[in-house]
This record gives sequence, structure tokens and C-alpha cells, in this order.
Amino acid sequence: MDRNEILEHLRARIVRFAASRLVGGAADGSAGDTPEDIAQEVLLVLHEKYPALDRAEDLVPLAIEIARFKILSARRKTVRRGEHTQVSVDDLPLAGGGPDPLEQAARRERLERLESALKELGDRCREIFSLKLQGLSFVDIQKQLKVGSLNTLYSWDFRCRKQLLEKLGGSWGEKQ
Amino acid sequence: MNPEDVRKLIGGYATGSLSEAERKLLFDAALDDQELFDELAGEQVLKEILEEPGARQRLLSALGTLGAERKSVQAPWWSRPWPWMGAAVTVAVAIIIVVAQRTPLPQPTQEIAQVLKSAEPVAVPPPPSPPPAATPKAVPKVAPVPPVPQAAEKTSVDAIAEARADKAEPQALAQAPPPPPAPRALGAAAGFAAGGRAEALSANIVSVFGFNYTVRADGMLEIVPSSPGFLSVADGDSVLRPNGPAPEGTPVRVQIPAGTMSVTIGFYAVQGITGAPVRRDEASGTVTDQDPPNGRIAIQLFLTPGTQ
Repeated sequence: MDRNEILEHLRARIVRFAASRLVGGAADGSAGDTPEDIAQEVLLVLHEKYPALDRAEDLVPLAIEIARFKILSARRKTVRRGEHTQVSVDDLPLAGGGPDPLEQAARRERLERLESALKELGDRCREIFSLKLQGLSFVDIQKQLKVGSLNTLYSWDFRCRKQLLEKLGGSWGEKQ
Repeated sequence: MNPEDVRKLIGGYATGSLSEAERKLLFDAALDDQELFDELAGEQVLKEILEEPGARQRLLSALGTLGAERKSVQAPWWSRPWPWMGAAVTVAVAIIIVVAQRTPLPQPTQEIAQVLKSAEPVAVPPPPSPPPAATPKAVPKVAPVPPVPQAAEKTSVDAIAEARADKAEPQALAQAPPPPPAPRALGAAAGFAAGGRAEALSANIVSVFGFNYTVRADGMLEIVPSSPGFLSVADGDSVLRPNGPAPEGTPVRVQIPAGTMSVTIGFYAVQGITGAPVRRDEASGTVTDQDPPNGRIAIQLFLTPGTQ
């Protein structure tokens, strides 16, 4: 699969993903960015900044990350538009490059929830997650835990992830 | 790997646990699978959490601490180090106690007062005894000379010192007139300066051929042999005790007639032998073998006015 084919697939995936995340006017295109706009902006970034990448394992995670930022930006833009008629533009503070206090608090809260949920997992799940956090690959973890088959380890990890997600309420904590 | 198996790789995305091959499988599948794509996008949140500075360490420490706590609760006692360390310390203490109890403590030095046997009466043989073959010839030469036995009978340190002082004039000593009362008193005191010393000494001499004698104030002569032998007592003219066996340690009492100036005491290991008596002036004393080892004692005991 060459780069163009990958980008085509990516576009379809991003549109549907953005449609599921954007709400209200942004989702249906009545106001603000539409899913297609989001996908287009993502592909534009990939085209302008990452022309050398031509592998799916490079482009897909990058596209996902860019898409998330674009969606978040679209959300913020929607909110700003609601406030635009009430507050003078001169009174609005300039947006900083780093995460705002709300975002920092949200991340801190997600980390605490994740920590609590991890403690409630079983021994095997906690051990697998701990080894993953230490940077070990699945192959390394297989040797460490002396698991006979790598597929067995995949299954264990998949179940552990499912349990962790259930303890977190079905998502990793981002507002849907 | 079928699509369901590829989906299982999603857990390694956020933590960066996927190899290149696994990443390719996963993301290739995500291009065709919208649901997988959405899940991957959801995993991005977790990925961002884990990329926060210190987040991984915090989660690791939380998992490690909890894991250590659970391990300490669930691990059997034989797999924990503390029970074994405690047992080892107990055994070591027990060994130390046993060894300490078996090792004898240094006994404090006990100092005991002891009456040491004076060397003078025993170690100094009465007179320098000639060889057994020369004895019959030497004895007659000593016997007629009164002062010589007196000097030989002085067994105390004082007497020896006195004898040494007079050694330069042996002839004068031999020709001296009969000793005045003062030297006699000195001899009596020197015999056993304090009475009790003689008793202690006589108690020590049990295996030496000899006897202890005492002249009481009532004129009774008491002789206690320190070894078995044949004892005879005479006062010159009459026999006060005929020659007969005298068991060891059994006192033999002989009444000395009034007015007797001296008595001759003979004590021999074998019946039938005789010897020339040696003069003694002490009212009590110990006499040992004069001709060792033949067991021959003969003294002429001069009585003081108080015991006559």
C-alpha cells in the first residue's frame, strides 16, 4: 500500500471518527468545522509537514493525533463563537502554547483515576501493565513472564485493557 | 494473524510496547477497520496521560507498592527472609550460650593461710652422719664429749646461726664447760619456740622414723612414736620401760621417779640393736632417726629442776 492509498483510507477513517466526536453544528456542518474539514486539515498537515512518511504505522498514529487536536480546536472555536458577542475581543486573553489550567486539572484527574483503577486489577494484569510502563515490548514481556505463546500474552493484555476500561467507565477519560 | 488477533495489539499502542511488525499489523488493520481506528484514537488519551512527565513513574510506584504489599501477604512463610533470619539468630544465640556455659570461668585465686613446715628440724639431720660402715667408730668419739651433742641438738635457725657463728672456734666450743642455764633455756625455746609449732610439726612427720616426747610437770614422760618400733626407757640404774614394741601414734607413758636427773630413751626399728645416746635438754620435742635409714634413736634426756 503506497502513501496515496494510505491517505485515502485515512481520510475515510478520520471523517467518520470526527463525525462521531463532533456534536451539534460542528458535526452536521451547520456551523463551524465539519468532519470533512477536519479530515482535510489533517491531510493538509500530513502533506505539508510529513511528506516523507509513507508507511501506515507512521501515518496512522500521526493522523490520529492531528485529528484529535483539530477536533479539540473545533470544539474550542464553537465555544468561543458563543461568547464572541458578549465579550470584547480585547478582553480575551491570548491563548498560551501549553495546556490551560482546566486541561491540566483534567489530566491530573485522569491520571489519578487511572492509578486507582490499576490498583484494582489482578496480579497478572498489574504485572503486565507494569512491564509495559517500563518500556518492555510484548516479546520481552513474554520472556519475562515465561508465557509459552505470544498470542496468549496478546489475549491476556487485551482482557486486562478491557477490565481497566470498564473500571474507568468505558473510556480513558476524555469527554466524548 | 486474523483481524480479531490484530485488535488485541491495541493494548500495546499507548504504552509503546509494540514492535515494528506489530505496529504495521495494527495500523494497517486500522485503515480498513473504523472501529479499530476509533479505539486507537481513544487510546490516544491514555498515550497522552502516560507521556506526562512523571506519570509512568507514579503509576509504576503505585503498582510496585501494591504488588509488594500483596506479595508480603500472600507469600508463604518459608519464602520470606525474616523467618529464616530469625531462626538463624536464635540458633546462633543458643550456640553462644552453650559454649559460654561449657567454657570454665577463670577461678578466683584462693589464698589460704598455711603453716609451712620449717626446714630446720627435719631437713637438718642431727649430726653429720658418717657412712654406715664408719658409724661404730664415730659414735664413741662423740659420746664422751658433752658439748658436741648440745650443739648438734640445736635444730632451730637460731641454733644453726649460732653454730655457724661459732664455727670459727669449734675447739673452744668443744672444750667449753657445761652450758649454763641460759643457753639451755635458749635451746628449749629454740626447739620449738612456741610449743604449738612442735605439735604442728610432729603432725606432719608421720612417715619419718622418730617420736615426740613430753615431760609433764607431774613427772610423766609421754612418748608418741611417729612410726612403729621398739621403745625402751631407763634412768641409768633401772629400766623404767623394758624394750618392747611401740605402735605408731600410740602414746607411751612412763612415770619418772622423783629425783631422776636424766632418762635414756632408746627407739629402734629392729629389736636388739643399740646406740650411744645423744644428750637432749628440752622438756619436749621431736627426735628423728639418728642413723637413717637404719631406724636408730638413742637420747639421754636431762631433766630440768621443774620436771625432776
